[in-house]
Amino acid sequence: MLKLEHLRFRRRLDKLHVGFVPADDETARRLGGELISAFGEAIAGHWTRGELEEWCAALTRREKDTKLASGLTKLLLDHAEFSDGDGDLPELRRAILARAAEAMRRAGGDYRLYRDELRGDRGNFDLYGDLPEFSRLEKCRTFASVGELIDAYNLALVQGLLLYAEKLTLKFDSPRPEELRPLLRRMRFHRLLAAGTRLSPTETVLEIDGPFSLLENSRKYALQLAMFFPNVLAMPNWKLAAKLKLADREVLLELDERAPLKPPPRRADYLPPEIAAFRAAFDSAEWELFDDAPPLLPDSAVPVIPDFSFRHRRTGCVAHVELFHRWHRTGLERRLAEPEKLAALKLIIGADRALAPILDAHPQAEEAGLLFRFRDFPGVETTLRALKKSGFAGE
Amino acid sequence: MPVILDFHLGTLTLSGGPEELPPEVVRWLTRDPRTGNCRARACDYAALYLALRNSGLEFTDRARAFAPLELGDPGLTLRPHQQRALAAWEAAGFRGVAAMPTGSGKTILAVAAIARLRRPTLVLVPTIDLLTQWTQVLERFFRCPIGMLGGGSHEITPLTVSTYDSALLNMEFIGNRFAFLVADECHHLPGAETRLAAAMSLAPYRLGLSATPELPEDRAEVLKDLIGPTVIEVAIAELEGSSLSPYRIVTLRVPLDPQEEALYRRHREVYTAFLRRHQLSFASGGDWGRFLQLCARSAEGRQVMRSFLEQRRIARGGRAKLRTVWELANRHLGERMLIFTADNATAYELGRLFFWPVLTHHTKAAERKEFLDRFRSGEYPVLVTSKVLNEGVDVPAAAVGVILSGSGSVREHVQRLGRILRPSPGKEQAVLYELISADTSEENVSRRRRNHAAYRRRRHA
Repeated sequence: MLKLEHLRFRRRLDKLHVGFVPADDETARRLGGELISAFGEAIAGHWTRGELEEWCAALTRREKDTKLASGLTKLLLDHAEFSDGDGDLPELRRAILARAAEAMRRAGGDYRLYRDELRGDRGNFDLYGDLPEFSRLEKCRTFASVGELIDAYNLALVQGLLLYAEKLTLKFDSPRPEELRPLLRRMRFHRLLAAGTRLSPTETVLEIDGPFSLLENSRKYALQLAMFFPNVLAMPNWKLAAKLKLADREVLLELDERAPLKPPPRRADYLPPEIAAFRAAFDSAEWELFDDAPPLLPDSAVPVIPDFSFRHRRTGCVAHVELFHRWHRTGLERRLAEPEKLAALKLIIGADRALAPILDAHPQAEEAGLLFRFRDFPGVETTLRALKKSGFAGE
Repeated sequence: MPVILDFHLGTLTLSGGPEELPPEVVRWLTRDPRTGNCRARACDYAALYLALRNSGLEFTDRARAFAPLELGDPGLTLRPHQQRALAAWEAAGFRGVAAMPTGSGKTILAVAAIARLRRPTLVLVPTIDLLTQWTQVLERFFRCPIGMLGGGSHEITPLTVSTYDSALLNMEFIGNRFAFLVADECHHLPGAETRLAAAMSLAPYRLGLSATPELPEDRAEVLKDLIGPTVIEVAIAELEGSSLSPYRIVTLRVPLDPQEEALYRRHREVYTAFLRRHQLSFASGGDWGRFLQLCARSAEGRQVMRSFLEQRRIARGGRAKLRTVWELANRHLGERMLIFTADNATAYELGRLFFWPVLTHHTKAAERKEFLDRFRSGEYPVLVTSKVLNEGVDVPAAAVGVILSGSGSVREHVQRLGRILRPSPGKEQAVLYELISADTSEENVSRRRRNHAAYRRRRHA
């Protein structure tokens, strides 16, 4: 993470504008290239941390845009891994320190005598030569290109600022459930909560913070918010607003999908293949599968994002299916704790057979068509049978 | 449907029950639009529980995950001031802060409190060294496995010691597992984020320990809210000569060597001229931030920053000071001497120059333990440290302290004095040397940090 001193931004009135680096910025490209190649050499030459940091500091001093230079170097240094240093030194140090007390007594205050006795024939031996500054560079995350480094830098600028946020407000235009679901999953993974509001039939707003934020404003969740942020970039049509507290002043950070931000390479747009296959195979004369179902935010500890939503072609009634896989034991227990809400939400629960011990405790829900079982992933036929049994078609 | 009280990620949730809850219950709750139920701070568990019970509502408590504990008798004999402290804490409803000097047996007071309550206990400490020390003490008295959170350990048992940082990270998951929370060096607790470690715990019983609990008003309020009021204050003077070792403080003004003095003056002038030009006096809290900003903006500013650091380095660790330390070490041969510096670089410079063990946050756990053990046994007569031994760590054998350099913090100074006050066989009088580079900015720093009762009545050389 970048620290405040690395962040490029401007404050105008109460708003904060991030100094993103354009992908074709000459200085950034030159610097990035220099850094990538220097770190490559440093790995090959097993530079010490001290040498590397000194080189980075010299480079930063040389540049006019010190924030850009120090930020880019910090990104690379953060990904650097160093060796533990000289393994024999603690043993040698123990031996010398053990002799020092005796030597002091013998020297009678004569420092030269004392020093020579302890140093012996070791010359310029450094008693603390295994401090972190002497550890050697072993590996470092490599950026495939300067462009990738600049992308990482721009993302890190936002994440660094979000470390001063208490809450994120996200606005999405027409989010599809399968897009929103992984986002909310990641939100849960980061132990964050959301209050959801629908501004219009297509616009959804999520206010995201931590459980304790309701009771006391705190930056306790700021790191979680910053870590969560890259997931937002996978969403189409997003807008973000975050109130930051910088130097005791509140400022507003506003961003949207036009910002030059890309999700980290491993988080590219992703639709699980089984969901894509289900959508492709779905074909029914009675039900249509639709994308623009709003997230269901019932009286529950976490919002409900159905995996699939269906509309009955004749009656127009809507029904939803939420799937629980073998690793969703806690979520399933929580959902089945209040079965009366399922009917109210027109929500059918599909659960992996591996969760049978939990399912067996709810025969009434299964009997009422609110619960069905599948192995690994439900097929289209299984799902259609469940929809029929639920009676949600309204016929 | 009865009311259900749950623990959820460091908070309490209340669900079910009637639409209208009694006002004595409602006062602890906030409606949470995110989850549709009511939420409260975990630290308000005891009050909320009592409010629910007194309201006559039927409720299920699923929040707490602890039960009474089988604990052996630690076999303690408390000293009179410890007995008074324990009684005052009990009378305050098993919540509150005991303000007692270093060496007066705060840890023993906590052991007595744990033995009295016999409930799962989480001890919060600020440093890894204290984590290790508390673990050893609890093991010795209760003869059971003690959990550790922090310094690479993640083991939770009914008696667990955690650093504040690790507690903050873990309290969302473990905040309902302990009935008793002990906050050692509790003046750290009201920090902007650290306070959440205590707020996310539902422990009804709480004890804060500190030798220097003086805090700004807003932070003192936070400490009172999260731990309780100060239930007892014991002064150093009250225990000196009985529970604490008698002591004297010697301030030595050491002139800089001529060459260093010239260098000091030159860099100091660059720095102070810059301050004058930008009207920075450091009288307001924002001046330091402004100074850093100004320094970062231009090549001249960066030169000023280098001058600032250089003049400070010379004042803190000039050659004359190093010679004085050597003389003091030889004058006190046969005694155990702790040397404190303001920064790691100076500490390691001393270590390299005089072949002394240096303990900083860089020192790995095994070597850290070894250094302390060998210092305690007398094998290492000198131990150099920057800040990691400022607080709490028990080194009773240390009879001589040398402050080579430090900040203007009264708390840091009192804590450093505390390191040499623990009584020990053969220790007749402790002595604390404060070395100040004469006619430098250190004179002001020294005046600021000596503003405490423990120093005011002492004659300075």
